[in-house]
Formats: sequence, C-alpha cells, structure tokens
Amino acid sequence: MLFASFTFLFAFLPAVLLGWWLLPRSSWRVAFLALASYVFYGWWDWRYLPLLWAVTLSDFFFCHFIGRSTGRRRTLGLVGALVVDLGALGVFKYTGFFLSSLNGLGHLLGAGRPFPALHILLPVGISFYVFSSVSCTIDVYRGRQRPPRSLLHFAAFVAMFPRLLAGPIARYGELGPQLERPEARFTWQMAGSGLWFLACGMVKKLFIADVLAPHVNSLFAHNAQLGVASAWVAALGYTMQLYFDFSGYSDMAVGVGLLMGLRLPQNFNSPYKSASVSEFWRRWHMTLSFWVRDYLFISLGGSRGGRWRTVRNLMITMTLAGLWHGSGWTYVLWGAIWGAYLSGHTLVRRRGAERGPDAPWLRALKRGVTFILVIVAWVPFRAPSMAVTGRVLGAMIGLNGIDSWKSLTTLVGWRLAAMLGAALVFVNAAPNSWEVRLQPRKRYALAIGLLMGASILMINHPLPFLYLQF
Amino acid sequence: MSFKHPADESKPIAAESASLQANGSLEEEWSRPAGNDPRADESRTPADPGAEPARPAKGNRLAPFVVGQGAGRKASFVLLLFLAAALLVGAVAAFNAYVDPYGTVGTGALPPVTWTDRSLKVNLIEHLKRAPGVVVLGSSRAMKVQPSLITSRTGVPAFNAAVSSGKPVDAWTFVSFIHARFPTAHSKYLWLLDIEAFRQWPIDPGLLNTPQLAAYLGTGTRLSTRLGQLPLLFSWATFWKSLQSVRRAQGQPQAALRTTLGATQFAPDGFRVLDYHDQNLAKGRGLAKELPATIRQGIATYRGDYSRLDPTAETYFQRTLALMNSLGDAPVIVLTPMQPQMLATVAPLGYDARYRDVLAYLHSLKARYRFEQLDFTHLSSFGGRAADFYDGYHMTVANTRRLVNAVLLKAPGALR
Repeated sequence: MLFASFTFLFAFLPAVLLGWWLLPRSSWRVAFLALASYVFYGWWDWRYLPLLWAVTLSDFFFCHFIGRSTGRRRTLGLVGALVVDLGALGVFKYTGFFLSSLNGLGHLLGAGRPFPALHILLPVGISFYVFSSVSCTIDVYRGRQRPPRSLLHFAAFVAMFPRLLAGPIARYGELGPQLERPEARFTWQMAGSGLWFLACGMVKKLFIADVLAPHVNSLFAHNAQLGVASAWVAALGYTMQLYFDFSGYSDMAVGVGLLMGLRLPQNFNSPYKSASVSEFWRRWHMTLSFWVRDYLFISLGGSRGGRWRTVRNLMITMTLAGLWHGSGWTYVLWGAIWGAYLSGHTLVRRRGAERGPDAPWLRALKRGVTFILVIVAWVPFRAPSMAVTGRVLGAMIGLNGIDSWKSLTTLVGWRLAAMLGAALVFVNAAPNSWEVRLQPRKRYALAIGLLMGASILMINHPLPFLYLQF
Repeated sequence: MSFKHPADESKPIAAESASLQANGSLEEEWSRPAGNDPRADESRTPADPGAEPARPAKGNRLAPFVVGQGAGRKASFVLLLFLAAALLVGAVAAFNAYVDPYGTVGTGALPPVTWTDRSLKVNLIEHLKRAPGVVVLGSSRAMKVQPSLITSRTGVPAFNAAVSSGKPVDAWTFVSFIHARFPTAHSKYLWLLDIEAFRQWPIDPGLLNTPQLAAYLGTGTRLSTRLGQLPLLFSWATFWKSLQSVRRAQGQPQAALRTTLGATQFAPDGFRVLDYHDQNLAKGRGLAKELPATIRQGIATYRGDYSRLDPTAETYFQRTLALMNSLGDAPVIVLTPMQPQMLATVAPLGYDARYRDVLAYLHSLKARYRFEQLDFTHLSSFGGRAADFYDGYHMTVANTRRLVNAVLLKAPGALR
C-alpha cells in the first residue's frame, strides 16, 4: 500500500486513526498499531511478514538476553543478534548479487560451471526495519538503552507502518518512550502539524518527483545519445527527483506519525544547501547518516587512529552504506565515491580550532562545488549498470561532445528545463518543511488544503517511492 | 517479560563516543548542526510543550508543531484545511462526473472522448433509420462479415454488431440495446460463436464505458464496475479530458455519426471496411508472416487457464438466447473456423476438449431454447480456403462470403 494511494488515504489511514484515538487503553492502542502495521505490510505481499516477525522476535530476545547478562555473554548476545539480522539481510538482499559476482569472476578466470541463479523474494523495506531493529540491540549492549518494555511495544516499534518501508530509521530511544506512554488525547495542534507534513510530502512526491520521473527515465534510457549539456540535465534531473521523492516520503511518514501523536525524527534538512560534503551528510537521509556514524564508523574506530585510519574507516563506512542501498556494483561505486569525497574533505579541512562563519561569497562558492559533487555522485546511484554510469559520466565530461540544438530540444525540452530551474531555486532558497512555523491562520489553512486537494487529484497514477526498492 | 537495566554493567561506549566528539574529531563534525544557518541549531528547535523528555540521537530533531493561539483557532485551522481540500477534490470530481469523458458514470451529458468499437457501433445503431432485419453478432472474427451481402441475398437490411473480443455478455447488451432502440421491430440474429467465447475473461472496459450498453448489465455488476472506476473521477488527467470533451462538444451535434476509429474505418452498417489486417496486408505482412504470432497466442490461451467453460459466460449466453426467443427469433449460431495450421496446433493443447464442451453445452440447451446450430469449425464444412485468412483467427472477406453463403444454404429460412 502506497502512502499516495486512495486505499491508504481514504480507507486505511482513517480507520487506523479512529482505532488509535478511540481505544481506551494504551496497550490496546499499541497492539492495534502493530496489527495495523502488519496489515499495511502484508498488503504488499503476505509472504514478507514471517521475516519481519523473525527479526522482531530475535532482536527482542537478544535485547533482554544482553540486558540480563554480564561480560562475555553480553558480547555473545550481540553477536547472535547481528548474525540473525545481518544474515537475513545477506540472504534476502545480497545472495543473488554475490552469486552473480562470483559467476562473473569465475567466467573471467575460466572456471567451470557457474552457480545457479537464485530467485529470492526481496521483502520491501527490509534494510530499514533491520537497521531499526538491530540499533535497539546495539544500544542495549552499549548501555544507552533499556531493553524494550514488552514484545508488544517492540513489535509496534519495528513494524510501525509510517516508517516501516523507507524510514526514517528511528531508534527505540526515540519511539519506544512514545509507544510506552502514547499521547492520551488528540490535539488539533498535532493534527494541524501532521496535515502540514502530509501535504508537503504529497506535493513533493506527486507534483514534482513524479512529474520529473518520465523525463529523467527517458534521458537515462537514451544515455548513448547524451552530450555534455543533456548528460548534466539528466544527472540534475535525477538529483531533484530523488530529493523530492524521498523527502516527500519522509514528510508523509512524519505527518502520518503526528496524526497519531507520534514524533518521527527529521530525515532531510535542505541537503542541497550544504557547503561541504560532510555537511551534506548531516542534511541528507539524516537518520541513516547518524546510524552509520554511530554503529559503523565509531565501531571501526572513528577518527581516533590518525588521518589515514580515518580515511580507511570512512571508505569502509560509506562503501557499506552504498551496499546497504542496493545489491549492485553501481551502489558500491556510489558509496566509494562518497567515501573518497569525505576522505578528501577530512584531509584538506583545517584541524582543531573552530573557524568562524564563512564569508557569503565563500559559502556560495562552497555550496556550488558541493552541489556539483553531489550531482556527479548520483549518476551511479541512478544508472542501471556500470556501463551506463560510465557513459553518462563520460558524456558529462565531454567525451560525447556537445549536444546539437536539435538534440538538446528533443532530449531535454523547455518544459524539463523550466521545471529544473524552478526546482533549483526552490531547493536553494525556500525553507524546508521543518523550518516553516505554522500559524493557525485561515489563509494558510486554505492554501495547504488546496495543495493537499490538488495532490489528491494526482494520485491516480502514482509511481512507487524510489527508496522502496532499498 | 521483566528487564534489568544494564547501564552499570555495560562497556561505556557512549562515554567513549562523547569523549571523541569533545576532541574536535570527525564524529563531532558529523554531529554538528548543519550550515551557517542559526536556525539549523538543534537547540533552537521550538520546544514541544506536551512532549516526553525524548532521547533523540544526536542531530535528530522532533517535528515542529503548529504554533500560535488557542485550541479553537487550531481546530478551525484543521477543519478549514480539510474543507478546502474536500471542496477542490469534490468540485473536480463533480465536473468529471457530469461531463463523464470516459463514460464511467453514465451521465452521457457529452459524447465520450474515448471511442471503442463498442461505442462506435452503438453510435451507428443510433443513426440507423430503420431496424436491421438481420444482426450479426460475434467477435473480431465476425467483423469482416458483410451486411450488404446478407441484404442482397435476403432482401432485408443487415447490421454487423460484432465487436473485438466479443463475448456472450456483449451479445446480451447489443441485443437488448437494439430491442430498446427499435422496440417494435423483429430482427433475426446470426451469431458467430468462438470456442474461446466461453473462456473466463473480465468484461471489456469498452463495454463498461459505453453507457448505452452498460445499462443492460446487472445492477451489481454495474455498481461494482462503477465503484471500481470511481477513482478515475478524482483525477486531473480526467479533468483535462473533461475540458477536451466540452471543447469538442461546442458547436458540434451531440452524437454525430462516427465511422472511424483511428485508422480503422467502418461502414454505416457496421462492416469493418479497413482495419489493421488490411494495412498489414498492404505492407506485405500477409498470412505467412502473421500466422506464427497468432499461433503463439493460441498456444498461450490453451496452455493457460482455459480448462472449463466460464459459468458467467454461460449465464449471459442463455439470457441472450431467452431474450431472442422471447422476441420471436430463433438465432443461427455458427461455430467459427480457424486457420487449419492454427487449429492443428491448438487442438491437442485443449481446443478439442473445449470444443467438445461447447458442443455438449449447446446440445444441453436445445430442449430449452430455439436456435439453429451450424458447425463451421473446419473449412471444408462451408467451402472456406486456408489461404483466405489474415492470420490464425481472422477470415478475409472471401471466406466470410463463403461462410454467409453456406449459412443461407444450410439454414435457408433462418435469416429471411
């Protein structure tokens, strides 16, 4: 079930909100939320459910095992949880990738029979709920978090439908207390905020991302014909499409959460306003960024071992973050590019003392450079193969020559150019949905209501959210 | 399940991480609020008055709330927001429902912008000056039957009401519609029945979107169909189609005679004069080139889910027979032929079994309904030629003429 669907907006969500606010006891409400989340998830394919239940049970068990244990038994508990969680990810998400990579390698080396191709069902949202679930176990191990109060609360946390499919990757420390003591009373303030976020998300997804999608798809499909300008437009188009798609989803998730009185963490903070690659990761997919920082980068030693060890840790962290997104070499390359960017930034940045704010012109320059680096990095993320990545990146540096006026108008067109121009202005100048402070005024209500209505009228043919594939 | 707080027993990684951050390290930078913008400082996030003392991960902020005056204003804010959204959606849906560009509601205020061969044939029937004496029913395999030939041989006006993928439900709606259009006339029916007509298949959208025909479907069928298509009304795409309908309708008589559907041309008597088969033929794509594709299609059909006759199709078939009989006609039912190579391929795959099922079924109906049955499955039964097919299914005019002549010969009084 997509957020941007009639079934969700006019049947599922109203039914869940009614149940949530009308049930008298908090334990009933949490049980209702867990059940509704399973219905929501099973709507995609009921066969996904057993794995979700298995991951939930495993982490709940290990959280309590670790909580009750001391010394080596705690470490054993953590290892057990990681084996189950990462094993599930490995089997369901990466088996095919590794087998095909091994077969490719075997072919190069002239090996005999290849491994048979396995067609394993990839449960939607697996990367997100496994990361959420395992973070609780690690936090319990680190002493940052008590084990969840009950299986019911933990099950509701892992499966919570607003964030189950594509995040935000909330931690139990953020959502657990809210589930253990849910808001007792519905407030108009929360409803207003929820609707604001829902409207923002719908506009971003349905009016911008879905409108850009066919143009971007067409440009990447014609990757062999791209010249310098059209290649940059293709990459810029995807840069915008992905941002509005994913931040739109995140806004909708936050909005749905708020309608239930649950506060989800922020996932985007105007990432294209970043003045450095490091700042970009504090603004883009923030919950993943902080997850890999806390559970991967710091676990590898962080920046404690000097510059080169920091570079090594960054490369490992970002390459694994790339692989987390998808089981393909293009994602590995994307992660490695970001590892290289961040490493480069680490090596050149001034160490130690805090600098004051940059001069406006310097910050503008830095923003421009960072934005270009970001656009380049999105190419392997979008391209279906390394060959296409190579072609598009090659075209961007002029290997395919300059577009003729005719091919530019055919491939790009004025409509796409105008949309990208408007999107560029928007992402650079407009406040994001978290920065707007709503006053309960009639004109705002009218404007938001009309935007929401206009978005609903776009629902008929929505495209799936891009991050659902991860 | 009880739990024990483990904080005292665990390795103090939290403290380790905090000390790392205090040393101006990369972790600190990763955690720092983004940008020069002072609003990005997490400490400036507006406080949530009703919030639990949350423990967010560093850098994560909780959602801002509607700020401002009392609960009354917030309530009216939310209600007004809902009202605005509902009004816009409602207005667009109401306009779409009134214009009904796809014929989903059945208001029929303006001619539809999307034409199918079903709506086109309805349009042709509406423009007939007198009732057809003979009506041809069937699928695309019957669309090359010439009403003019029947007229010349019987002396009564004929009309070809065959439609692509025609099933018994289509026959039912066309017979009902023709009777409603010419209530006092007594038409005779020549029904070219395919063995595949009893395959389970959803009702064609073209039928559902032709209000004049959809009216003869059961209320439940119509309602569920309408409900299924309701989301179409809540759409900008439909809104643009509605505007297009309005523009087209301006200065144009409401139901002008329409004889073209894209590149396909129809005669006013329903005969498909020119279609994609003729165009393929003109481009040199004759039977030899078209046959393999239709053979693959036939194999897929019979290897697929066509393992028994569909009870719904049987119901509509019998209902149509009953209606025809009640109107005083005993229709001629002709089992349609296939190109011999095609027939030889699909026969062992299930065609033979379904063919026997259809024969047995028709036999079982003979006691209850009046109809004439002719089995022209094999070309030899009506003097057809294997070369006079466009592909595995569709006869050229040469073969349909032979078929009509054979019908008139074998059932001499049935169509007069």
